[in-house]
Amino acid sequence: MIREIWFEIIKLKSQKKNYIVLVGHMLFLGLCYLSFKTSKLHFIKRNLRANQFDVDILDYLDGLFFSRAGLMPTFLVLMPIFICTLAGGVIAGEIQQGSLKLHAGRPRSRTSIVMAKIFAVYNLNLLLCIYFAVIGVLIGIALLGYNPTQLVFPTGFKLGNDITLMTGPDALIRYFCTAFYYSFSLMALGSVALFFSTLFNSSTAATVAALTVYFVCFIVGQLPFAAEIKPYLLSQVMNGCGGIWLAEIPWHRLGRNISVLAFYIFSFSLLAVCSFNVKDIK
Amino acid sequence: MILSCENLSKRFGRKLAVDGASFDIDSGDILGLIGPNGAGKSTLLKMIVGLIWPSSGSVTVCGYDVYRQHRLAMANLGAIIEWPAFHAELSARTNLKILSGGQGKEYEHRLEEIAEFIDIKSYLDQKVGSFSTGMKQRLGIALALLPDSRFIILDEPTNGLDPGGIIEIRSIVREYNRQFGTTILITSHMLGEIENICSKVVIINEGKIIAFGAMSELLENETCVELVADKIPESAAFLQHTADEGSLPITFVENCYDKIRLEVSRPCAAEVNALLVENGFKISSLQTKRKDLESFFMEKTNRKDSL
Repeated sequence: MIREIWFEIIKLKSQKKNYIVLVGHMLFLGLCYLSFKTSKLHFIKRNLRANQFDVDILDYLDGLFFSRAGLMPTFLVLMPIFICTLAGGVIAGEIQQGSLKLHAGRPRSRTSIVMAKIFAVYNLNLLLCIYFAVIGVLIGIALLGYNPTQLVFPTGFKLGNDITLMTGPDALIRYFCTAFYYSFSLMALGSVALFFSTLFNSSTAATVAALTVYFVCFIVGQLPFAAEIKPYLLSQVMNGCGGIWLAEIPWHRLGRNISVLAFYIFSFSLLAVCSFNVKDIK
Repeated sequence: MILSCENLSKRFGRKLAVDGASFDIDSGDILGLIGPNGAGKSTLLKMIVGLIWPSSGSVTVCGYDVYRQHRLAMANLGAIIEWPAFHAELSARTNLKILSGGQGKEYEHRLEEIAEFIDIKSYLDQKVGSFSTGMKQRLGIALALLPDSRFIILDEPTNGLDPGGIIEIRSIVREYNRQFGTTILITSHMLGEIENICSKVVIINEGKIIAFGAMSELLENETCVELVADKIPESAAFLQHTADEGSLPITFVENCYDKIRLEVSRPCAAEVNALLVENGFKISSLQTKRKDLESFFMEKTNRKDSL
């Protein structure tokens, strides 16, 4: 199984389209830096004044602040698109290309083929999440320096109007915990995309279907009458790690979100295995 | 028995792609599977390899059921179905490793052996994306041969090749069968190739198997007469008239301009000769020939009129 996973990673590594996300991330960081420099964070100042906080935000504008600001858009917009493309193409893309016929015509079970692909996607996703997290911090510190005292602004995570001061290492640990949470949450979306990849014979169809599920969940989550189902919606639980930044981490809520994500991963992976086992590879 | 298909059927919605196909292959045979486009050849092959689930019937490879004992059955089978699609950005060596799942010293030794046999050794470390059509076909054949299978399926291995490439692939297939006694199932639209290479043939049309047997037996029963006469158009018209009347066992008359070709249901060369001479035609040559696979195929698939 480990060899099969390794082979899958080699295949994914060889596909040039999978490197587009790296370019996208660099472009994103570049534009973020330009925005930081030009706006001087007036929007946050206004928000702080409105909530009667007497803090000069510019004192705390450093590399870690920058990397935190770039975290959510990277993991909630850029990476979902990437993970849908990646997982949506692993089976449907190979069917389209024709190589799956060669692969499935060898003495290996279809379950092991799907499992190897799931683990390969998760590995690559985890590597990319770590890469984005590390590169965000490094570029941030290189461009804006490092302040040992960090101002954390939870309203950015839609968690009320509190602000917290914490040490640099504390903020860094929470930053990487957030990145790991997102890597896990992205795998839930990856499992959905992989399931669609077993249903369709076109990687585009699988990718679009998975992205549609994600954005439909996101839109439904914004509706006022969806309050009861909101905590279980994919987009909602994927972004359910804001509590990590609070002074008192709400472990119960965090645990529930991780459980829901695990349920998503398990159910859709199981569906993918079942669907692929009965699929005609034409 | 290397391969046994019993009453194999596949339905896609309302369309019955394969309808009750039953045939088997013995060890060491080279079997040709032929049929018009859309006849169900690829669907049948995909069911044999376990890529498509049959609607009914069963397939066994070396005694193992392809669906219930897939891994055991596939361990004895190497197959290239349709176009061999490799990962273009990876080298030939990596592609073969990933797709065959091979490893260890024994695998490396086998790879070197096969690469030499197929003549792709110097290309193993090049990216497949840079390969020509012929090289990709060779690589596909290498992949089918690599697992040291007892049974190999090659689906149109000469597709897109130039005449030199076709001859090379033909000699590889023959030589491999001769040296190692491997059973081979091959499909091609080049019926001359199939006739040259195969010992048995299966003809499939509209999902149904319409002929199956040893090449020599199938074609032995089918004879034709070729003759050269002085007035070919008139002779051909006369023979056609005779055939229509039913006084001779002629089933088809073909005017080939420099000769006349007659398909007959029983040997009747002497009667044809006598009849033509009696009616004033001069015959310079007359011979009985075994029907070739092309004519046999055309007749079985009712395509004679379209010629």
